[in-house]
Amino acid sequence: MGNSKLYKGSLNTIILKLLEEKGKMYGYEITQKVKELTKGELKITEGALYPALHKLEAEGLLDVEVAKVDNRLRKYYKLTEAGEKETVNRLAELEEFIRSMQNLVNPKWSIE
Amino acid sequence: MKLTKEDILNINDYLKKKDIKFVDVRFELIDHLVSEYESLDNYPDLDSFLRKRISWCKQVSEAKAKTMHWGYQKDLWKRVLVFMKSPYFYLITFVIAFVYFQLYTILSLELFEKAVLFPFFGVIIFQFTFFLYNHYKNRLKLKLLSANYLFNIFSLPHLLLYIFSPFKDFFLEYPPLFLGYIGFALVLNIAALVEVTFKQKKIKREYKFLKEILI
Repeated sequence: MGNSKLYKGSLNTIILKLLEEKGKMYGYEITQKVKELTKGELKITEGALYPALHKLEAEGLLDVEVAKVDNRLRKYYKLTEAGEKETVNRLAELEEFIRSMQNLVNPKWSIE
Repeated sequence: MKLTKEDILNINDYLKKKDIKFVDVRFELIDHLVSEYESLDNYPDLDSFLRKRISWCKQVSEAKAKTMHWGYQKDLWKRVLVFMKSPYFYLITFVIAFVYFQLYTILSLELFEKAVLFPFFGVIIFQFTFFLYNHYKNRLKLKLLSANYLFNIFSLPHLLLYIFSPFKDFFLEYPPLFLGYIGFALVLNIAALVEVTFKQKKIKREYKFLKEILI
């Protein structure tokens, strides 16, 4: 994607939405899933992803689970109860934003 | 290509050398780096792969430290709110205020000041002993980021003590204000102590788990 800045404000919502769908995910998995869903258009950088995950965790929206995988530890993130409610709110906000943007960019003219 | 245990230990050492010293930060970075490396088609030399990624690893480590610090400060206020939601809080406050009002009527101003400050200092001395005991007994602070920032929770409550001295005369002129200030400081200090104890138990469990595998 030419302008990743457009996605910047939606990073937390993207993370919450993915976790809502998948149940639990780890950092690298999230970056790959976003890449796959957007057909490589959006690449979430690690420098942005982990601070966002840690912030959501500190806010109590995410819970973590650590498991041993192939000689190393893996930190899985999953939504808390508060996180589930927040996901619904943030998705509604995002949808509203997209609708407004569509109206601005592609207005439907009508003669009443 | 799957990385061997030795390769993973090398990544761990490399991150340690690059000043990412906390285990609870490192293990997540290690998993990401290993997953990324193993998914590459043509495997580059591990050292050059790590060199290219160290800047974001440091960025993540620094950002996590900040998030943790502010998260802990927020948790302190949440703990105060939990206190305030309990009916016992109001009952205890009422009893203490009543006792101090009686003391105010029978004691001299100097003795009254000592009587009010005594529980405040008591809590702080307890916190300090608790801090020293845990710091030297466990030395977790050196290994986990979550433990390193734990005792910062006491900073704000202690600040109330430091700013008391310059305004001491002013406070003593208005005993209700003095009582209110000390009462608030006391609640904040007790909340900090409860929060630190709660978090410390969680951190110890986390450390025990990580120690068995990583350290």
